[in-house]
Amino acid sequence: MKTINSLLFYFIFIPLFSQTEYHKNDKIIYKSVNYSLSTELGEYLSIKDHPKAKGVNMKIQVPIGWDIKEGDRPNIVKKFIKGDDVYLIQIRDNVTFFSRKQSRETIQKDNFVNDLIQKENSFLKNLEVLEQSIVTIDTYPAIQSKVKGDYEQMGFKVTFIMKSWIIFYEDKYIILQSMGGNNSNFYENEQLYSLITNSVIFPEHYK
Amino acid sequence: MKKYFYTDGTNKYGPYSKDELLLQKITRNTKIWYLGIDKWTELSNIQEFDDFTLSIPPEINKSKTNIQKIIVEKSLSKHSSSFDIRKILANKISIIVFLFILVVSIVIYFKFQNKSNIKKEIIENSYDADEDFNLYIDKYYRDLEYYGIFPKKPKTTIIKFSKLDQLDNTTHLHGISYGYNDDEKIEIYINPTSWAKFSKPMRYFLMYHELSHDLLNLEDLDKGLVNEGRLMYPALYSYENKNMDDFIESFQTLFEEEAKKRK
Repeated sequence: MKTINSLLFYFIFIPLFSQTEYHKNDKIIYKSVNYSLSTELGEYLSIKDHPKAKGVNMKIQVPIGWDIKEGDRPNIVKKFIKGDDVYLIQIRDNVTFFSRKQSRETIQKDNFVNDLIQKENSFLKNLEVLEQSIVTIDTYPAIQSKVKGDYEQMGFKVTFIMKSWIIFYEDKYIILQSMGGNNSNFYENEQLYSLITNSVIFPEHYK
Repeated sequence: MKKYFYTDGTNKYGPYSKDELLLQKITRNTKIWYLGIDKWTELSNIQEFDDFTLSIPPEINKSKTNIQKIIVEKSLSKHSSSFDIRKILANKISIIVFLFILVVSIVIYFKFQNKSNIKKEIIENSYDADEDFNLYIDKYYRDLEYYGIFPKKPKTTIIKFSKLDQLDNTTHLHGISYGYNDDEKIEIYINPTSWAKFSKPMRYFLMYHELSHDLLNLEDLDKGLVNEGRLMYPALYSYENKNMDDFIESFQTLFEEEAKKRK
């Protein structure tokens, strides 16, 4: 009976209550998802010393049953793929260093966040921002957004839905981007994408 | 006919005949001379003037004059002795100053010699690191430009490891820059032992500190606690618990100050 109670606690109560949100003037200013147990995530993958990682030492858990592939484009370090569903790790240079305090102050500005989301998704037509909020990923400030838009290639049109996290890390943007096309299972995987993102660790921070 | 001369102690007057002499302003103590005596002699000691000297009343102010004379002489002698003391003192001071300058010069020479020997030793023991130091230089230039500072980019860049903890007569060095006030080159030597022990923020602190010596010609700050946390604070060993945010805010403060100075 004791074992059953423990299992109920881990599988029901922790996922339900560990998601915390802090509100200010009806606006989410901080959000942290702290799922401590997940059967969907596997081993940690380190991108330390990866030629495209630009010196960022980051670890992230890979979802079980998904393929790990190298990114084809310059800033894409790794991608996890399962069918039509994709989770990308991109790292880009920022103009200079920003401390966490400075980044947090910057992303409090709506104009900055709106511009950034528009710019990051500029390859999509008819862009629709479904949600956006400021969250913390392993002590670093980040912008979480969910957008929908059309993508056209050689006359072939796909409607994409994407959930992204832009982490402001020192002098880098780390973009974690989950997406699915017309035939994808995006909504079924949305919780999994959050779990993957929440598994991010910057080991240097703990030395 | 005998001719006489008299003296007031300074000048000689004469020749006079005896009668002429007696008309002069002479006293019993006036010294006279005439051909036949070998030295100036007081009038009172010459027999042939006895009648005359006995007819002259003794000088009333003789003693006063003497006292004045004695005072003047004493004063002169005093001045003379104090002048001598001054002279001796001046000589002694000159010797002390000379010796001080000599000692300081020797110390400076040996220090310079020592520095020069240390530099030679550092260069001789330096080697190329498998670390990409250019990464730090590129970021340093990028960040300077972000703050509107555009220093001259030297043609020569030397950043190497050198075993700075094996040097004699030095405190523990984490890094040393030789490009200070030399805009033609960046020359930095990093202690590999420190580098291996340093966390990422400390490496950034060290590299930006040395590059600020080299490219901005900035000197170390005083070791006082008031400067703790700043980029040019020399006691980097105390930065063990600093994180990247500390480093970022530290270099930004320095760059902001430099940008203001250069406006």
